[in-house]
Amino acid sequence: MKKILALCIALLLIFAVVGCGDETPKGDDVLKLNFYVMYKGEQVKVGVEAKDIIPKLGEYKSEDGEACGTNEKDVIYTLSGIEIETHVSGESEIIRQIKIIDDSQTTVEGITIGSTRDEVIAAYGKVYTEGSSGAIRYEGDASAIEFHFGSSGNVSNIYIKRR
Amino acid sequence: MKKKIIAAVCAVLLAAVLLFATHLLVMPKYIENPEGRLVGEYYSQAGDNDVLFLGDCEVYESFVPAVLWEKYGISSYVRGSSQQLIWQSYYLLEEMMEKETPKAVVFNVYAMKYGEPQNEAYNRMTLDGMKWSSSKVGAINASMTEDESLVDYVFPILRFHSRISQLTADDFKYFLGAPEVSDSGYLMQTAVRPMTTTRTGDDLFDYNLPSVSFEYLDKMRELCEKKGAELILIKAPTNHWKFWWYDEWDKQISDYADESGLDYINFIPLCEEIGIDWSQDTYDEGMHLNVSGAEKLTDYFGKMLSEKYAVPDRRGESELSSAWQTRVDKYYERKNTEK
Repeated sequence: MKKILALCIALLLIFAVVGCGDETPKGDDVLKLNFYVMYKGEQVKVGVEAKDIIPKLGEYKSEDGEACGTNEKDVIYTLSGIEIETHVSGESEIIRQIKIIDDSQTTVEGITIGSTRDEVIAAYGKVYTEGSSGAIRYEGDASAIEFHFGSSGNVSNIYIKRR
Repeated sequence: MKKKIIAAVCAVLLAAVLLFATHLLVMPKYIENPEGRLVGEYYSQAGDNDVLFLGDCEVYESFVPAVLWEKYGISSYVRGSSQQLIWQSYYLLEEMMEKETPKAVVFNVYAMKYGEPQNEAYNRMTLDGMKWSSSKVGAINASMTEDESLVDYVFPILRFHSRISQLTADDFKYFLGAPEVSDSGYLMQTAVRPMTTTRTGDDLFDYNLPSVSFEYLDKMRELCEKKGAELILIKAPTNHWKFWWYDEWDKQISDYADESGLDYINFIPLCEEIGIDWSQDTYDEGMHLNVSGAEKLTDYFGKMLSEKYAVPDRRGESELSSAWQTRVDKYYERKNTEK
């Protein structure tokens, strides 16, 4: 009985140590389930109907690109500091990507264009994947956030993408 | 007893006819999106083509076989379809090689970016038009998404039966088939919508083209070698943010071509030399060429096919010449009608 108890305690300790490691995502876990940006007091997320949010964001310019052989198209709305890309299929227009394009806009965790790689990792943690481009990606349940780096080594573009 | 057998046979035949008629009725007719009719139109012109074009919309909107014939006497066909994936290009080529002995096969490399089947709607636009053969089965097996099954392709009525309640007048009008929409596979667009955007493609997380794409490119190369055809890799001159061609991809294709002893022609940096004017030569703001742009590109490439690749001028062959004159006349008739 004592042996079993000791084994249970040992296992609990192992799990506790692993749980406290640096590999645990930092920041607000809820945010990481579906990344978004705050824009003019509104949460802008991917995977939602564009008509419910874009009219609330103020002035924008838009351009579209039609798909071949279907009536579907992609639309890019350019606002101050961000671009929102949607996919239009029939009556539905779903936000598929949000891109931060200048330092007037930050992520919820405070990262913006020009931030360093260390600042990104300090804000979002060490659990990420790195692409052949050198960009790093954090996966949420419904979305992913990618940080791309320019020749200076600092963040050059930030994308929140629908998974 | 004899009467009963006859009655039973008649009943089975009647059921088969009704089933086949229902099948014809519910199959998509691709009237609004005629791209879905392109692949099937090949069979009326199969055989005796010296140049075969394969690929996605960037081939069927860029190369005009009627112009290749008229200016260079080159007999050709464009077997393109919307978002034609490379394994579909391979199986289409395999099928065509049963009927053709081409001098050159021209493959547009944009679809190399796709390493997985994309969606059923695009699959259908390429696969439903193929006649049944081992190549079609191979293409279906390579193309199916998780939600698709081979049996739905064998019996499309299983897939499209729900359309029975959504039939339109077109389904009855084109019950036995819609008229040809292409000119030897070229889908004409006459509108002019100038390119105004300067936007480029978004950054990519991973710039490596999928290994499966190169595996199928190897298979295409081997098939061409076996048949004595020159495989020419091309990238159409269009470069719009929605269909951006990245330098990193270009280098991978260039490296592959060098290692394999193939020619790769990227037309994007050649636009000025070709004479493409993006204020006049596109119907959708730079995503594709319109007929004016396609004629310019075809003329430019026809000269290369003729001089560099020695594709023969066959205007002296009376039977072939007569068949092509009919196609050329039809092309100009369509061009004048659609203006």
